[in-house]
Amino acid sequence: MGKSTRDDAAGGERGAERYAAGTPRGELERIHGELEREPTPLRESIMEAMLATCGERGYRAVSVAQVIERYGGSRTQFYRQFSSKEDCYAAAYEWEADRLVEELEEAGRDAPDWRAGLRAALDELARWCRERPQVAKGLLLEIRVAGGTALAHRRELIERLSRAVDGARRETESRHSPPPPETARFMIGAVESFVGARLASGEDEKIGMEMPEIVRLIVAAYYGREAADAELERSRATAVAASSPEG
Amino acid sequence: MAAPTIKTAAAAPPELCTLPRGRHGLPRDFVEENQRTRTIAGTIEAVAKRGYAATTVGDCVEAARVSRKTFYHLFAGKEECFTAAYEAGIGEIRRRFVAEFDANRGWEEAIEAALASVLGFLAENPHVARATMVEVLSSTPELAARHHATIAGLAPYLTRDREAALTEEVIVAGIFALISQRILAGHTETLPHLLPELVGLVRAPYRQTPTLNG
Repeated sequence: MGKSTRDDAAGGERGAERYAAGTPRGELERIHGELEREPTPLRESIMEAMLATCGERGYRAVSVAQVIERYGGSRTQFYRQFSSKEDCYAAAYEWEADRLVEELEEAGRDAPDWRAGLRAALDELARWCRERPQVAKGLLLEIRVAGGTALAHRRELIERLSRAVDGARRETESRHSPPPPETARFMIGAVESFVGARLASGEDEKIGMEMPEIVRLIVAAYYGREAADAELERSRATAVAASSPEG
Repeated sequence: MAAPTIKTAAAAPPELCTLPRGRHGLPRDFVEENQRTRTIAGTIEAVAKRGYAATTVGDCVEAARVSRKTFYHLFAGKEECFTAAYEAGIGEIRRRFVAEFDANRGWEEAIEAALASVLGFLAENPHVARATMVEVLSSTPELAARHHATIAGLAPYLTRDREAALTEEVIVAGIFALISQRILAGHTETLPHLLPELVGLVRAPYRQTPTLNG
């Protein structure tokens, strides 16, 4: 499970749809499908509710009953999907964190160069925080409280994002003295911690406006101060545009 | 009589040693202070080993070698004791960091000395490191928020004019993040090796654009 679940959802065929619901065979297929933990819409809405409830109340204070109330289903439905609150949180963390990281990577890939990619990825992160602050809190802050297997997944994702940020080395290699080896992990950790602090203090609306400074800092580490200062003006304009309400 | 010891990996200061048994004629304030310090050290050890959620008051008193009655005489419960433990740990980290900037020396030197002092302290006190830098975020929302505020409060020291600025706030967050990544990965003893990295990263935004010659 983990990374591959989204692909399974896109390409896989759900057993429940092949036999009529209500027949014994159909019921077996459906349960079997659920046990395979495909991210069905039901499963997704439970995971979303888990993260949002955690963001609102804090992981430790959350009960399965509150999660069920939030997504509006039954207890039986929940326990067909997950064995416990811990199990549900771990699955929800992996699912949402994978989605977030994929979106950040995609934003970076679509950009013409590394700097534009960095800017796009951080704007995407700010947008995610602004649109779903409770889910963001449930993911970035409550993982530390929940711990468990999801922590190892978090570490993998930090490594994955670090490799993407370190892509700047390919551009700067021949021209500059290289930045310290831990630069990318430092920056990813800084962004995670900084954004977490803003979410914790309820200042998540400031994040979008603050991203240009963060872009400047990361650019400075790879390209030096002059390049970073030039970058600041440009990315500030982008952030202002991105953080104003759409439409 | 064998020298009394406590079971923390942290080098135990003399005041953390257990008191002699029976009548010892020590002043009451001294005894209470000794018990308080020991209870805090025991809680740090228990939380570092088991994680905050899994730690019980029983684990704390066992590690501290104090009675349950003493524990509850000093603290209302695990949360209150861990709060005191966190304050002690982060207080020492902050004191070490700030002291180097207050000493009359150049900014670049002060950054290096401050980071060296903090990294050395954490490497020598792995339980304090784990409890203060990692477990605090899993304890209570109030303490986690206080931790974020403490991190932000160090930012002005990184600026030459001690004006808090966003860049420095993010840099301090990065320093703490890199340190806690190491601790989480079980490499606390290697923290001092991070010094040249961290110094380079802290200076990066102030560095002129590097060229082939430098």
